[in-house]
This record gives sequence, C-alpha cells and structure tokens, in this order.
Amino acid sequence: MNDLDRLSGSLHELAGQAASAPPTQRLLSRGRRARHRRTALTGASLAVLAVGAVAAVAAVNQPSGGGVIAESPPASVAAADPGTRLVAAITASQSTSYQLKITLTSTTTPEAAAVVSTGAFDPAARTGYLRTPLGGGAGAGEERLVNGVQYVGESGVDGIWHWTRRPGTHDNLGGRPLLDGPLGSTTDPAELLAALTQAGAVVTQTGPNLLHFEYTAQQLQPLQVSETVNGDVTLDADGRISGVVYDRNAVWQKPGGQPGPAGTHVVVEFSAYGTPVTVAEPTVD
Amino acid sequence: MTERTKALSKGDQAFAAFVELAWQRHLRLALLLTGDRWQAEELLQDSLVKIYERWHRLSRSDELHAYLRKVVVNNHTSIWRRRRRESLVSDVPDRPGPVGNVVSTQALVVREALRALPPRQRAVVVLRHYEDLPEREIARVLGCSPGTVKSQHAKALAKLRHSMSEPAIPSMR
Repeated sequence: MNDLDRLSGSLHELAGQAASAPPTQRLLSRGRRARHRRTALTGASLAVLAVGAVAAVAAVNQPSGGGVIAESPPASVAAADPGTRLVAAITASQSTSYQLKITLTSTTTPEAAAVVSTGAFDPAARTGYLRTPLGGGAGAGEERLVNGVQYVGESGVDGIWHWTRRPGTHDNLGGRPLLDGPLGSTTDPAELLAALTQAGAVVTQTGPNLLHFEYTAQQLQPLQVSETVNGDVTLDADGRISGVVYDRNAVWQKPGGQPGPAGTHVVVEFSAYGTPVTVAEPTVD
Repeated sequence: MTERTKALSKGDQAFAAFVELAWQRHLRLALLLTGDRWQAEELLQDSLVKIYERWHRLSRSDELHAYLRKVVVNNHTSIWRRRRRESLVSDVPDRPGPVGNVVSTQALVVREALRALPPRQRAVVVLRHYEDLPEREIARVLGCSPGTVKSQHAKALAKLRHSMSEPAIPSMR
C-alpha cells in the first residue's frame, strides 16, 4: 500500500465519523429568514444610503433659496445633533479617496497577536485594496477592487499569490469579516452608517469632534447568544471621519459546551483623504 | 407525512427531500474540510441555506449535489479566511472537536496534517483523494485552471508527506 492509498483510506475513515440527523426544519426556517432579509435589504444599497445621507444633511441645512448642500459639511453642522453630525461626516468622507488601517485585538485573549490590515479606497472610482499579513510571516490575504471588479488573493509561505475574481461588479472591497460584528464592514464610512442604522445604534456627542455610539445587536449570528458594541467616531478638522474605535463583546454558544465570551477591540484609522488610489488588476489563476 | 410537512410549499418539500438525501454525504466532505464535526455541521447548514435562497433557479437534480459541493468548498475557504483574520475571537473554535468514534492513529495524523494546509490545498486533497474527482472537475469546483490544481496538489502532498513523517501528531505532544 503506498502513501496515496493510505491517505485515501484515512480520509474515508475520518469521513466515517460524520453522522447526524439532517436538521431539515431548522434549515427551512433559516432559509426563509435569509430570503426575507435579502428582500428587505434590497433597497438598502450603498447608493441609497449615500443619497439618504445627503438628503438628511440637506434637510437639516436647507438654504433659504432651496438647493442641495455641497459635499463638505457646512459650519452649522457642528451645532447639529449627533446623528446629523455623523451623517454629515460620512457624506464628507465617502466623496473622496482615503487610506485606512484596521487593527483588531482580542480583549478576552490579550496574548493573541493583533491582526492589522492596511489599504486604500476610492469610492468614486470603485478601486482599492485591503491587505492582511498573517502572523509569523506565513503569508497574506488581500481583497482588491479594480473599477468595480472584486478580486480575492492569498499567498502562502512561498510568497506566490493566487487570485480569484468574484462575479459581477461591486461598490466595495467585499469579503470583510462577519465575526467581528456588523462594523467589520467599515472599510467604507458609508457602510458604517448602514451598520449603525441597521443596528439601531444610539449616537451621542461626547466631545467637540467625538461622537459616541452603542447598541445591542438584535440580529444574532448562528451560535451567538448576545452582542453589545460601543465605540467612538473621531472627526477631523474638515468634518470627515478620521477614526472609529469600538469594543465588541459577544457571547457564543460553544457547541456541546457552555456559552463563552469573546471580546474584540477594533481601531479603524482613515487618512490621506484625496490621495489618488492606483491598484493593478491581478492575474487570476 | 406530518401535518407540518403537508403545509410546506412544493419548493420547500423538494428542498426538504434534497436535504434528507444530501446531508450525510456532504457532511462527510465538510468534516474533512474543517476537521471538526461542529464546524462541519455549521458549514453545511450555511451552504444549504445558500442553496435554499437560490432553490427556484436550481432545477436539475443531477447537478444539485455538484453545486452543493462547490458551495461547501468555497464557503469553507471564505470562512477560513475570515477566521484566520479573526483568530483572536477566542473560543469560536478553529480547533478540532472531539472525535466521535475511535479512529486509527494514522487517521488522526492525516487530520492534523490536513488542518495545517491552506484551505484550497486542503480542498484539492479532499476532492482528489476522497471525492475521487479528476483535476478538471476540481478546477471547476474551485474556479481555477487545471494547472493550478496540479501545482496545488503537488504542494499539498509534499506538505502532507512531511507532516505525516513526523513521529506524533501535534495535539498529542
């Protein structure tokens, strides 16, 4: 018997461990909920949110002669309520390119290494990238968007990249994690608004350029018992978002065990607004 | 047929029948990809929910298993990528769960060696040596060229041989 026979035999032996009754009713329920959610969210695209954000600002700052407010928020926004300030900041931020850095650390496993992603994004050109090196130099993963086309790449220790292309055209980098909660998609400030709106977050102003938000998740992921998120949005002198810092505390039902906590501290830094973003189209395997 | 089943639409009834038929077969595939029975069930459930969402567009039953296999494999790659990035979410496990029945030491060594592979290489090995698919079909499942499958397969086997030549599996050290 050679190596490959032994491998095949072992795989069949391991596969034989799988035995459970199909959870048909649960799958039907989950499928119906997923279908319903998809239908409900169809109208909540990025474009609609952007229009909504502009409209919200315009509604608060409607000039006497009518017309729509310019892209950068007027000074009067500084005196507006926190929710309006956040909308204005997002509107100002999403109209130009920016660089970003996302740092995730665990609060329940402090010894775990931080995961740091860096990238850049130009919403208008639908172009950008987000790269995440693996710990110990074991490789890296990257999401890339070139003129609306999404690519996902990964490299191993050999440093050779393997790319796949996602079908269709897209407005965002995509592929962002779900496990660090709805705000995991905050590579685009507009998505921050979407996440906070969907979550029903309460926004308060805690400093001249500091907005605080918090919410308790109503829609939980499978195996999730609870989730609370609280954080701060920092605005720069131009009223754009310069950073989002939040703590997410979730409790997960460990299969076959007791529920356990998992806390994540996330820092998202936005910088270099207006800097052109150039991303090469990768070669797909 | 129960009252509850009677109340199902024709589409839901067909989906339920497909789940009954497909569950065990694809649970084995998911178990080999994840190395953990709970994660395998979660992966398969997520994949079947995706199938349900597209159910009315999927008609030919002979292709359903192939489509589900593709969804399971690609779903696993996506989940692995997410979890790799958030390996700090403690205790939302990417670690092997308990083994249901007694398996040979050789099988445990293979399980650990598989888990050390990147997801696409792991998928290539499982599709080739468990599902017995030719390279061309594996390329279709993974959405890449047969040449890429060939190179990934060679790399995966080299790593597996290296891992399996070690004297003991890591979790038993």
